Amino acid sequence: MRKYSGPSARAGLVFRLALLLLRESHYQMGKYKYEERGRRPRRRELVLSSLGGSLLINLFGAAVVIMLMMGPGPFSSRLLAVEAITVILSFIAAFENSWMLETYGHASPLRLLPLSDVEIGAAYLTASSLALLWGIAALPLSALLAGSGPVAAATAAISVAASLAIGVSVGLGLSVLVGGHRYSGPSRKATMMQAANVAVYSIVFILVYQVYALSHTIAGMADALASTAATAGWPLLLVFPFHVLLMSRPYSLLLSLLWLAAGAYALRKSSSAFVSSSTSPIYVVIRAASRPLSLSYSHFLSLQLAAKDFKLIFRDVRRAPLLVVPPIVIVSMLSGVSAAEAPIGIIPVIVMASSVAFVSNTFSAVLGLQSFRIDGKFGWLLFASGLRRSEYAKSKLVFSLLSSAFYYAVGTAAFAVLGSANGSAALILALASSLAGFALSIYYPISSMALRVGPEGYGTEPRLKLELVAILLAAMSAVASIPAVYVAEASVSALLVLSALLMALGLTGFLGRRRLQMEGKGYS
Amino acid sequence: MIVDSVTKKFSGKKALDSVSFTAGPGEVVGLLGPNGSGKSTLMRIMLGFLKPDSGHVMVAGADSTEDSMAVRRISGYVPETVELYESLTLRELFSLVARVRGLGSKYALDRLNALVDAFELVKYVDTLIGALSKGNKQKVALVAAILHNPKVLFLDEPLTGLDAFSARVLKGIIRSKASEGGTVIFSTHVMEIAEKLCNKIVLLDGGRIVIYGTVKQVASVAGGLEELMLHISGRASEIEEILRALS
Repeated sequence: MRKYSGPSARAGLVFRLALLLLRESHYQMGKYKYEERGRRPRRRELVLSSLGGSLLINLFGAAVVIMLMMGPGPFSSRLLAVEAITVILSFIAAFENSWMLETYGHASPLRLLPLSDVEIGAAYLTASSLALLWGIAALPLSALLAGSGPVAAATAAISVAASLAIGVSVGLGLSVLVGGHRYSGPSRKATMMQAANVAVYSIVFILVYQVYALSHTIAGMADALASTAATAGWPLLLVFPFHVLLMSRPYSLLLSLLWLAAGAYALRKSSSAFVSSSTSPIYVVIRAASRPLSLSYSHFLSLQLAAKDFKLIFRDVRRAPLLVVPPIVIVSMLSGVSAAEAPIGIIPVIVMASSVAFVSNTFSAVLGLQSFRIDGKFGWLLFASGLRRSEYAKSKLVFSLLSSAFYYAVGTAAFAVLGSANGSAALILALASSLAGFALSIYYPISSMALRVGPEGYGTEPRLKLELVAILLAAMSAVASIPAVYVAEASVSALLVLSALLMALGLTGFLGRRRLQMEGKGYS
Repeated sequence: MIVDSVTKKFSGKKALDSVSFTAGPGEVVGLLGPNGSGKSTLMRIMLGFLKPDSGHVMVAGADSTEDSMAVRRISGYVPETVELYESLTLRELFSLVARVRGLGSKYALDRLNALVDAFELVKYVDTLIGALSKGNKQKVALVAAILHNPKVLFLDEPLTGLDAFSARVLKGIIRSKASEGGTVIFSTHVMEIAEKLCNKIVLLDGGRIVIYGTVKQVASVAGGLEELMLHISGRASEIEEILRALS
């Protein structure tokens, strides 16, 4: 066996350890995810997951930076766009990778070997940085494409470096907060961390959407940030405070250097916290029971089971954004469409209605699938306790109704604000078409799927997913065809749509009852 | 309980082949056998989770293949690998199980308090299940299985991960269940446990019953259960060679 010696051998060792931690994390995460689906992850899937994600974000990041720097518009606007996208992408890459390493890449096997904490920590940082290689390319690319002389080039490179540092710092810091300390027991701190995580994702999504929507008009970047601030709140502007205001001043390079220094300091602190929390044992807080044992009974079992599904999704940091992101998406889409012209016409209202239906139905179906997947692995106890299949189906229906009702309520409220300029007829039409999509897409597929799930085969099957997709497409086609009724008077159109709604409800109710009766044999 | 000629195939391969045995009130039946012998499959068929390809199972008068719900109402089950909703607390999980089982709140609460105290889970009632150790999760599953005082208990490797105190409590529960007239079916690899707790032994290998009878009858065949298991594995003679190679 060759003895190792010298820094070069140890440097190579750190990189190998980094790849090992990454591979183990992807395997453990994949194992958990695929076990819920009833099978082990295949080697090809793990390799694609390990490498594909990092490669994709590296290529995407570099491409976006090049595209934005080469775009039209003044230098300050282009640079601002690059800074914004750099913060966002570096945050996402740093958070996703480091959170995964914190949660699944345990250092305990490495501690049995003659490895120092410094080497293990360096391996963790290297592994979390593999999705950030595009940042290294972004610095010279930004300088090269900045044009307008060496000062602009230096400003561009330094600004991108500062943005990278800030994005990575926030990502690492957030993963330390919500990473390996997930199971610290129900507490205010855990709930606050969860809420902060969801809020960050929501704000990031809004910013990404606004940047994407306006990427063709780089000159309007300042307006985009202002409108984002109006949507997401003033705290977002803390990321780009004076830098935005003073971009055109002669001493912008100096300000960029100051910003870089702040970013470097934040990066140092967050990296240290990340390494410390990754290499330390996971600290689990178990408290003595503060109040006597009691049982909380809901009058309706389906409601109690639906509450269970919501808890399981919200308390899991991987799934929680699914609950909150859809309303953010809906509001962003509606504000984007309504900003095009005022007052808006009937067709845009219908387009908005279809968009709300699409987002709401898709996300509530995704939530439903998530809850099925969770029950696939953990639901045996409820079925062994005598849970009827019809009760299970009802609980999934209640769960889907509650989640989609929330999304539709947000969409309807947005309609009321944005569509009121076109009068009540447009509002009624929009509401009616939303409800039609809601009824068609939710009741039948969810209850149908639930009736197929039982002790013999927990979890979802591919054909059920295909059925769900087919029904969703059919529902969306029905909603999108509603504009055809606009050849008639608005009031007649409203009557026609309401009639269609009643028929749809009746049909799905009839089919659902038939299915319940047919599937009632064997498993009651 | 009557298991009559139960056969089950998976992808053309027989997991169980004409398995038949009975378990009366007050009896503790041990299912023994090497890994992959069909113990867990048999248990799932008895509970009605799986349908056999042929044969049938009667549990307290209910046919598990036709009316599995009736079987599940009167029985409790702890699988070999316990998977619980990790984002729920014990309080929330027990509430859900009691509600699904339709237990009266006072009865359920009194029984729950006694069981939680017996298995030393009091300080964990507000802890997320994901934070518990494997042994504590096993205890949670046991409490959930016996909360409703079932007539029949199905336990698949129930002692795995339990500390000495909890193992003693579980053995006491098994004995008292039998003395009350209930039936316990459990599988284990620990021969000494089977010899001490069981009235009858069903020894499976390759999905078939190798030996079925009282503990004394089975043990007398090959000088003890451990010897019998080694004989079935066909590798008893290799042990000395392996130990010599390792030393």
